[in-house]
Amino acid sequence: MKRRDFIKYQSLLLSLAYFYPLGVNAKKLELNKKIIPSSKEAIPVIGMGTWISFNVGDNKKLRDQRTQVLKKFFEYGGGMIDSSPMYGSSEEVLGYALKKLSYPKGLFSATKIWTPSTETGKEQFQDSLRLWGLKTLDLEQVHNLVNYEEHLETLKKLKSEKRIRYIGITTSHGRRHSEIKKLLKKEDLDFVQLTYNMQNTDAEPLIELAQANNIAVIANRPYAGGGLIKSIQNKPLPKWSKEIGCKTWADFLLKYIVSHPGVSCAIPATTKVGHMQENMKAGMGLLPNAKQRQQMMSYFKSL
Amino acid sequence: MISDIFSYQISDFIMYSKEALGGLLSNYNDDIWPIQVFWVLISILIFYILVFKTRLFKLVFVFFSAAWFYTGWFFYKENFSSINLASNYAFYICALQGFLFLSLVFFKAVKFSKNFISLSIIFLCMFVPVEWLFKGDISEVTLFGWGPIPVSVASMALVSLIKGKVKLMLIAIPILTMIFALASHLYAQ
Repeated sequence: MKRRDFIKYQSLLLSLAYFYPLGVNAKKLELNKKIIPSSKEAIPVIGMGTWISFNVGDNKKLRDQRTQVLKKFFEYGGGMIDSSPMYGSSEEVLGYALKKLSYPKGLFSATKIWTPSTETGKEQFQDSLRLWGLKTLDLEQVHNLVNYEEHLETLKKLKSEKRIRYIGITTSHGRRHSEIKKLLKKEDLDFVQLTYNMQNTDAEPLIELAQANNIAVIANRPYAGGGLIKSIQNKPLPKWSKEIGCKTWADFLLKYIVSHPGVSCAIPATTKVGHMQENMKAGMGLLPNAKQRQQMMSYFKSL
Repeated sequence: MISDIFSYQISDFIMYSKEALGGLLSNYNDDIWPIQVFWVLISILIFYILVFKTRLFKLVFVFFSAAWFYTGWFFYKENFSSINLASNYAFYICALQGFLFLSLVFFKAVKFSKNFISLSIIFLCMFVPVEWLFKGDISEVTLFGWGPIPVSVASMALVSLIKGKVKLMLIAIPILTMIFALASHLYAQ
């Protein structure tokens, strides 16, 4: 080989080595997405809840720390953020963090109306816009079915005025399932939010009903308020968990939820950047199939 | 619906974390500084009256009334309400207790007796940073005058020093406030 050719090939090899990391990044796993049945829009399977975690009041240090949590969420391609006027200062803190992050692309704003008064409900919608710093909201939900008859009318009007894009109802802890069932059959809803995790699968019939009625499902309390992951974190993951892409208990618990065909996304809440990273990774890569989900549940029950 | 009611736990009503509560207490202490010095001086005066100048004991009710108003306004309404919506109402409850203590000044029939245990509890609430012993962070400590737990516990001890049925009227709010404040500390995640 001539010296000139050697230098040419060497340069080519060095160039390839230089660009190798880009190649790796290009192959980096992306967050799985699911389709909202009513619009066919895709949303990432892992969202973010704000109950307790973002209620930090005026504390600047904690507000800035939560901004870092949110930054990580968007770095991993996160979309849905769920809040409520019931969550103290959470909406205000979210607005603060979103402004600091210059309203990242991909934000899917979801909040709620939570009041027995119809007029106060309308005011809460205006307050949410102001606190989040947005002109429109993606999803507005009736929190815990409080005065849902009146509030659903308000939400339908807001949707027709294009001030919100989707309408939903919520419950948690397995409460008021019989009323949710009636509303899933009767009302023209885009979303239903309910508690679904490996410890509490009571909502499965409702998820199937929602699926049959083209309603997207948001699973709240995926870690049962943190208690679920604390109770099993020192126990070993099954050896076969790597086959379904589970390296941590967060992977195991979240993949189980979002792999349900009727679930659109799960909304874990966290105050820590590291935990946010774990949550987001759980939404990437393989998701278990029906047989693997059964295997996961059998293992979980054996713990 | 009944089964729904039983599914609620105390922690379901605590909408903030221990971290957020600690941060709030720390900020509160920064915001009101140096009023803490004023309250410690008032506490010394109160204790002096209770131990050595009992004929002036009605003056103590004025100071306790002021402590309830101060805690209601500056702790609950101005600070705690940022993480707990119900705190806006707590101010009115504190104000009511303030008025009740103040009204005692005008009751001639109110009698007072010394009691070592009650005086010790009042002393603890005024001068010993009990919260610091449990949590280890001095910046979050509150004492009599500006913190709901020391104000409510000291009030219960003071009421126990009063003779007669009038004490029944004065005990309810301090008990409720203490339960509410303790639950905030114990059940926050």
